[in-house]
Amino acid sequence: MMERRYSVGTAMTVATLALCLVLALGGGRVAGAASPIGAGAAADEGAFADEDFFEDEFGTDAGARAGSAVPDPLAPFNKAMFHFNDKLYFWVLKPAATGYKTVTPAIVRTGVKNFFYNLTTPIRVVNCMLQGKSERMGAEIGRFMVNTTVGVLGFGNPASRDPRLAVPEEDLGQTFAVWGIGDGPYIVWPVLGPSTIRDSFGMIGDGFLDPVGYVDPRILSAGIKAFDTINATSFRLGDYEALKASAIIPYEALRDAYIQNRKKKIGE
Amino acid sequence: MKRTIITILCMGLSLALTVPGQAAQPETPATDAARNRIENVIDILKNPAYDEGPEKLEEQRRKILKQVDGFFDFERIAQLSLGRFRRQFSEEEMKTFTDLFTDLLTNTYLKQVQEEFENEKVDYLEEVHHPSDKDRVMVKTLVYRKGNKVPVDYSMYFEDGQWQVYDVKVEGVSLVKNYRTQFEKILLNESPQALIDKVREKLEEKE
Repeated sequence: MMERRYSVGTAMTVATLALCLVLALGGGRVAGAASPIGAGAAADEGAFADEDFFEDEFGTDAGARAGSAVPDPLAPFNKAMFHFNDKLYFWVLKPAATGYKTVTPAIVRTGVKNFFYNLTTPIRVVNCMLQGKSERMGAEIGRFMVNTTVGVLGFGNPASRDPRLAVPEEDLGQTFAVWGIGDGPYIVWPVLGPSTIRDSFGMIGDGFLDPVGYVDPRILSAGIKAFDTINATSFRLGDYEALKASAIIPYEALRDAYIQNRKKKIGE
Repeated sequence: MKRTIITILCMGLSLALTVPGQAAQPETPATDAARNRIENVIDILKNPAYDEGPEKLEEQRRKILKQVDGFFDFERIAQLSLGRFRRQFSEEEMKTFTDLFTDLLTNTYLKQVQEEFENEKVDYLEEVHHPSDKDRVMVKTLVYRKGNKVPVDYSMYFEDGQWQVYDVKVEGVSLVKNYRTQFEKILLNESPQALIDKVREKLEEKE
């Protein structure tokens, strides 16, 4: 729900914060917590991760620990940030996105969404390369060329008509996971939302490949990012509300949803 | 004579038309069951007759619930969501919990579906078979929703002559596992009754 890509400016701030935290926790602990839930494990479990369907009836508790595979030693900080982001959503982001949605035709919003997706192609190309996924890299480049030209600077998405060009999104956090680096502790960033230590470093790296981060006055760069976030949110209004309404412990529900979703992305 | 020739021709033609067609299409009973239910729900949602007033909405809700009831096995979903903690529940607690949890799921998701339906289209992608259990499959679908493509996978099992859903994954997030992490947090320190109270509180909060 929260925007995960961001400018170099914020990236540096996050990097400093992350480093402080890692140091405060002690590097050893972070490394120790990095459990091997990398790509291999996720891919194998893949389709049928619900193995306890029958096993449970025979007294084993396999699978019961599914969501706790990523430790949460920062829980007090994370919970505070969760509440902060919750308020930020209901007081700022939601009203902004709702207002924006009412005055902006769907076709414009879709165009803007396509534009920003096209603009971040470098991130996905580089990560396909780092993961050795050359076919996908080709698809990303092909998609970029078609959408930038025929799609007029990426506002249109004519490439979507070719199913071969529809490939899953890769990012640096996923690349690290494919390399065998574990999640490290779960962490909730203000504004940016749920992440893990590994994925946070991934976001920092990806930030350097995001052209918006290089826009010169920094305030303009931040403005463009904010616009991207509001536009993206206009498509997902109601999703976070539904998660909150159906959850008994919303904090845990969001945490688990983030971890499960990342696992799926790493596996594909 | 002429008639016989025509009959034979017709039979030959129909055979030629039907046999290869059947051979080319693998049987996917679970997908068919899912498609049937999902399309029924979409038809009910699309019907403009339900747009007028709260009574009509309630009628629509009941109609959808009827479709959902035979499709989702809420008893199993509730059991799986409790994971290993289910053994701490007495029969009576289990029943109360299942009823409340079913209400929570149907209330929140039906409400969302009713309020936010915008002519969604569903693609039925494939049926993934369980490696060892032939009575379990995962039906993979793609929902086109507000310009996004959302992968929704239904885990289904075959019992008593019908396919039923025991878990749903939306964008890779399993409903059962998501609740299990939450329930585990509560049940590690608290009693089954405490969890039941929390689910009830959540239900009342919304009404």
